[in-house]
Amino acid sequence: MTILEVNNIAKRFGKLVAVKDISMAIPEGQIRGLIGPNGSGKTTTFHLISGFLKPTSGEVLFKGQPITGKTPNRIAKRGLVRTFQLTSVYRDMSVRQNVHMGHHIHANKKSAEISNNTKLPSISSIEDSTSWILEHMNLSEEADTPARMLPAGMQRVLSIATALAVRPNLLMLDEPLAGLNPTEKSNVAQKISGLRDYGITILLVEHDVRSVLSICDKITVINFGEKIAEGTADEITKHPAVIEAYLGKSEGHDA
Amino acid sequence: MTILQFITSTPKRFVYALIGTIIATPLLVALPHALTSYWQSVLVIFALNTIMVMGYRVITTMGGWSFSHVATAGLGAYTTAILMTLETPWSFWATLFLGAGISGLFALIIAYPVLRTRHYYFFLSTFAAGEALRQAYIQFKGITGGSFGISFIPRPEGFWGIDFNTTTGFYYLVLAIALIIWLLLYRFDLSRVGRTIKAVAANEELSESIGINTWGHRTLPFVLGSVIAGFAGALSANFNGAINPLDFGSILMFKLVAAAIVGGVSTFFGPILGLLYLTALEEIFRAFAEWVPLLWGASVIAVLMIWSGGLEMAVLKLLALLRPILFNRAKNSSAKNIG
Ligand SMILES: Nc1ncnc2c1ncn2[C@@H]1O[C@H](COP(=O)(O)OP(=O)(O)OP(=O)(O)O)[C@@H](O)[C@H]1O
Ligand SMILES: [Mg+2]
Repeated sequence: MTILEVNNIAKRFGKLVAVKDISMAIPEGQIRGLIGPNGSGKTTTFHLISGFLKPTSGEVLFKGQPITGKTPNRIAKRGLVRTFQLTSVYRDMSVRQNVHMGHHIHANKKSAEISNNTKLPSISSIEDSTSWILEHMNLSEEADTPARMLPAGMQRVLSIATALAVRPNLLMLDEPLAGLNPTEKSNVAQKISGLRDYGITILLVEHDVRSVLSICDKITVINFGEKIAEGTADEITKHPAVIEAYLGKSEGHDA
Repeated sequence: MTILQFITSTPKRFVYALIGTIIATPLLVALPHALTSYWQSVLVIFALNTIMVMGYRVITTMGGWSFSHVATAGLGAYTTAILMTLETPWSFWATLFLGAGISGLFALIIAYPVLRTRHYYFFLSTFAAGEALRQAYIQFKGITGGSFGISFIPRPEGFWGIDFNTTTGFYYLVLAIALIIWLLLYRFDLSRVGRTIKAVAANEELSESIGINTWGHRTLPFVLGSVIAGFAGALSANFNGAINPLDFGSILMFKLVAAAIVGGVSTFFGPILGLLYLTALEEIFRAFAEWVPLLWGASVIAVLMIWSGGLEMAVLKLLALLRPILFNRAKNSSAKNIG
């Protein structure tokens, strides 16, 4: 079953076309990579899907339902949660309070529109679920530390942990490995690919191409706001348009 | 929610506040009897402004510093003033709640444009909304009495032997309403919704992304704070017996903002401390009344530049210092138990 379907979305900022025409379909349970050079429109695409920006044209379907133009909080309640490229945490709250806050929609049964078909451990209490997530993301030792005191890499991990607390069906991560050291990188990459076991579909934007190639089932490559290739790691690395985009074989250089 | 659930889910801090309030109430009731009539009036005005500033603090929890608060309170005042001076006057209680409701409704209507703005723009847009409202008080002469305002506003009928026409009697009315509002708002502050409002203020984007309706959690405190302002406005119209547009101008607004800055807004009691400080300055320098706003301004600048956190931080630090002394014995005995 297709969990996310993006049909010809575009976004203009005045004269600048940040996203020209992007379409993709992500089947449930997949780990999908979204890569492209700097400024190619990845983050804008995230904003368009998650409701933080309204597309100039095109539509987004989540679990078969149109979500274009809905507010991000309504989209999140349906089970689509994204993280931010610039780490976003509640700086003055402790690590535990951050993850606790992530459970917001589950504190009041009425506001949770998702039936929660993730395979995350069922929550009997928000406290238990918080502890489980902290444990799972290796944050238990810092549970009572204010988020602002954590090193940058750990703040990134915390932002993923908070997103997990929403119990999303589709988790969209914008450069989750940025600012991590190599050991942290491989640990977090492993965690991300492990989320599949909990029935969570993942859309991953990441500049660390090696990690993307190793954990993604399928990769979508965009450049200048347009999709230029899509396929498995092998197919992508051999694709001429991708090689050109990444090695910068542009007319400007030839002249 | 059953009563039992409510009691067991009640935060400890609220229980302490409730006990403190019950202990303090007899003192607050006895207070006017120790005062001259001049100080009794000061006390009533202080209590009215405490209601104003408690409402103001609710608004600041969503991260915005409104400048329309006093003008909004004016809606409560004018509602009471107009309806109680009709040929067949309305009952005070009806106008009190109607006035508060109208203040809230106004906030709800301006929320849509005003809450789209942040920081300085929020300050400016609420300032504009407040000025527009004040102009309306001046221009709609037929019902508001224009710049002269409305006079001969009666006070409510007394009961239980309390005569609201006396300053002390009216003080009891304001005190009762202030205490109810204080308890309700304090409970609200500690509630899940209260915490969520502060989370939205701390990081709106993140809050929205985890499914929090940030618009609702910004609108609610804005409207709630304005309702509280409406209560204060209605009561002040009754207390003074006359109102005019100048009563809802920038001096009082500045006093509230200054109280919030000098006292701090991270705790519930911060702005009240700030108000107490400003009122004390005002009374000490009563002979130089025209200099008082200058002293307030200097205090604001002092807090902003050198003493960030305001009076509440001073109190919290003092409490932190006292804690080991007060609880020393308890700590020692528990240490012994472990040993
Ligand atoms: N709010 C905005 N207003 C105007 N232009 C914008 C806005 N947001 C993004 N852009 C522009 O849109 C283009 C795409 O930006 P986007 O952030 O989506 O790229 P990206 O692929 O995420 O890049 P990076 O890898 O550096 O994160 C860029 O040229 C950027 O400057
Ligand atoms: Mg980006």
